[in-house]
Amino acid sequence: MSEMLRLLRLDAIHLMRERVALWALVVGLAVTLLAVWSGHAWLQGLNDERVSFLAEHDDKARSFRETLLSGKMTPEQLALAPVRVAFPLAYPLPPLADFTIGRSDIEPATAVVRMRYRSDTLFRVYQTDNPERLVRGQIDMSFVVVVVAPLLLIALGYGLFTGDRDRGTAQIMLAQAGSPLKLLAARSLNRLALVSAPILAGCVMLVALGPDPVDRFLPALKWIGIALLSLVFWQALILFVNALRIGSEAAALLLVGLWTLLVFLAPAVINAAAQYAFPPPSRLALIVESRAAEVAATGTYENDHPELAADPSLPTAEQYRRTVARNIGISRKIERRIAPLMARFDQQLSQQMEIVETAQLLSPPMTFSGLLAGVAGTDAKAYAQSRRAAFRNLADFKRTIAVHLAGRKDFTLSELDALPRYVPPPPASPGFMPLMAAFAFTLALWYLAWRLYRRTLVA
Amino acid sequence: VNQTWSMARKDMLEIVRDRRWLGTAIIVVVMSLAALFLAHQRVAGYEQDRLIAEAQDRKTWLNQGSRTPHGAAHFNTWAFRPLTPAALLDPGVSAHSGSAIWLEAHNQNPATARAAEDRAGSLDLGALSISWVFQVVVPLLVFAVAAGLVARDRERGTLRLMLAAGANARRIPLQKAMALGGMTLLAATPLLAAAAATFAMAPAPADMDQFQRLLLWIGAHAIYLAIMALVAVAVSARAKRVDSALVTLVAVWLLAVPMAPRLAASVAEIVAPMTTAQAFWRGVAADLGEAHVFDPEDPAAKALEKRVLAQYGVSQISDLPVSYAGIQLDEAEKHGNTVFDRHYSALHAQADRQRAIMRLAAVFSPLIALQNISAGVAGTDAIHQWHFVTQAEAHRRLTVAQLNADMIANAAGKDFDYIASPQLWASVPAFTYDPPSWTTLAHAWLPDAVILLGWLLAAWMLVVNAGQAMARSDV
Repeated sequence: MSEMLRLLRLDAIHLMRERVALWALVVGLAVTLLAVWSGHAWLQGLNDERVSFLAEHDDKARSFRETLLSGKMTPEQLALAPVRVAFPLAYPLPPLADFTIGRSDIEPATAVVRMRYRSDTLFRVYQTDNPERLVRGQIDMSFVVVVVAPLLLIALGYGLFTGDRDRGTAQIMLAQAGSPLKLLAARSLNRLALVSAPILAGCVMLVALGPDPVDRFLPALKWIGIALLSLVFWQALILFVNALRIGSEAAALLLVGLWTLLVFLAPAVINAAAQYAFPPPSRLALIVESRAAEVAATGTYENDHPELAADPSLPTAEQYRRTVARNIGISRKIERRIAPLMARFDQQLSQQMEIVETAQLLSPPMTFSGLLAGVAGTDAKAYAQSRRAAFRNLADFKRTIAVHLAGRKDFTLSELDALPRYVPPPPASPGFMPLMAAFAFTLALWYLAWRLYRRTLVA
Repeated sequence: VNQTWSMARKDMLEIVRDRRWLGTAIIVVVMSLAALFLAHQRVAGYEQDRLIAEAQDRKTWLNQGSRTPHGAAHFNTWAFRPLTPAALLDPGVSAHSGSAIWLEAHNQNPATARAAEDRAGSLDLGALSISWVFQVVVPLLVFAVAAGLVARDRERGTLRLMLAAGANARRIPLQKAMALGGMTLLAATPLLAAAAATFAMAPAPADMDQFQRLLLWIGAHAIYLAIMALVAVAVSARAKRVDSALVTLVAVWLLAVPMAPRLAASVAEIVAPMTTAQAFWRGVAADLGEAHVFDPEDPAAKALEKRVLAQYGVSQISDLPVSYAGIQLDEAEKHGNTVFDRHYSALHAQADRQRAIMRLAAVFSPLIALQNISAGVAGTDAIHQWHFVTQAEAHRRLTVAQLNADMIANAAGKDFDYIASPQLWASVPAFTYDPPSWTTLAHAWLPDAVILLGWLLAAWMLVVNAGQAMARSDV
């Protein structure tokens, strides 16, 4: 143990004298700070938006409730109440959106549930972001862990043993009394520590700066665990490449090539293949289908001005009640017509997710990236679950209103209170299989590297 | 000059003999062909869907039967954005900007149907496209090949021999850059030919403007790759060992390619955040409510009534020879238009500000400037999107105004009970997007072209400087 500590200390002194180590530390710190700044601002923005949305719409819902409670609504207003009542729907804040921005920058997270809306129009007016910024993405801690940190490890470690071989110091190293494997372990640990330290500091800062540090502590711990496993995987790969009988130039080239293949090429190809194999149906087809159904089912004004779609031979309140009932009928007809398309969207996206989840085992960085987004609650799966829950809530809401209308009575306070509210799905835990696969892959690499070293060093 | 060429030829031969070059060239060719195939499928599939959707939407509009013009104005039509052949080259922002806009009365809706929402990928560092291959993958491969160009000669001692044989130290980096450029061109030529062929096979016929866009796209990428090749040779010329040259170049690539655009986007969002969707719509709703012509107590409603009665020389609304409800609708629409103009212009100005901030990051990387030019010439940048949005909005206003005018003229005494015949729907023209020529919107990416040329000049100077340094010092 004391020998290992001595080796660690000596190697640390040696490492800190190298310019590349200083650069790696500076780059690591700078990118991490930027990721913390960007991630914190992003989560703050998401939180502020959610809070202000809920405050605004809860106020409206409360005001509606108070008017109903006061009994001051006219019969006409009561008849139109089922189309006027609206509840806010907001996805819970993803626990670690500041760590992994993921899909939180393109997915709508708030909507208003009301009778007139359908599953294809529930999230209707949110696309005001700057697409130029969206397409470029943002720097977050996931980017640091998955993209930047492996390159820093490669820069620090491509000559871990090949450098000794090139310089001829490998023989001297083997002639020493100490274990060369321990020396390599010490070098690996120091390089891992150098790259991990800024990341760990960044994670601590994000938890401390963000909301609910206590609630976020456990997910953050999981996230850090996966991030460290990712770094350990890269260090194992670096050790493995160093164990091959190649020079440091070839080792550097091979490692950079592997990094490009695993981080850039494989994900791009896998994502493109998943989209090609399971393309979602055309959004444009969905639009024209719903419109054709709407125009076929609609007479005059039912869907836009129910107060105008009246039969003058009836009392006004009754006219409105009938219009509202017709409105429900129209909405149902459209929902029925577009249901196969909506189901196909869900099915194709699920298939895409499945194929990506399976194929990403070919690229451990992709697996790590998926796991990090899963823990952060910003992956495609988490949003698909929230979306399904939102659609279920809308359907339940409309069903309850339809039951009320069938009773042909005035809308009451108890009916308002009984209307279903959005219940977010329980947070999905990251897949066990990908985690196990990533772990097994890392372990296998370590084992292979160890065996190669034993053979090389003994020979 | 002859010596320069012969040295460059020798280096080209060395690169060809290096199996790594062949390997990387094969990777680039395969990825590019796959990207072109996928782009063709994407654009052709989208265009097919769009044409069907447009025809069906028009049919639905024409066959809606007799109904009130205002009901029809609410229902209205959709504007679907076409993709031109140039979109094959670079998807730009199209996946994030929406391709369909509902043109309804009272509302200027944002573009919807964003393809990015219908993808469930992981570790998305850019969609596979021919632009992505040239902007992201090729520079790294150029760096990998170039790292040893001068450094290896130095490491092996052959650089000293070359100089002893009379080679001009100042010219060596330039010769190496020429060799590298030649080989990059050799690898890129079949790809560019494939891009041109795919372009010619695009679903919509390519006119002269589209071919000019293709040439501009090729030119911009050629300059970008030349910059990368020059930088790579300059680093190799200054490095003592090949491995350190490679690590330095990978660090340069990391900063310039995956990091700089993200860094720019992160800083832009922090420094000049866009108004959130909620704040935007809240602001719109508040301003729309400022003047409510249907509320008899509203000063705007009172002023309108007074003006209309005076215009027609009558004392009460029921005496009007036209539909007062139609006039109210028209007035509300005009008020809405000013509100939407104000809010969307502010949103657009914010996006412009973010673009300017992101452009500042071009100091770290020529990629940002290239991305702006590439998407600009492909017609898939935010400026082209805004052009589409503007035309669609003009059509919405025209349609709603036409339907309101019909109501004003024909609904006297009936107002909202007036039913128009299907001839009215046929008289409303269908929306046809007229894409701009590249010269119309070139002003948007001219600063980027200047930045790219500035980078080329700087990279050239780096190589010249490296040659001078070699001549001055002991190699």
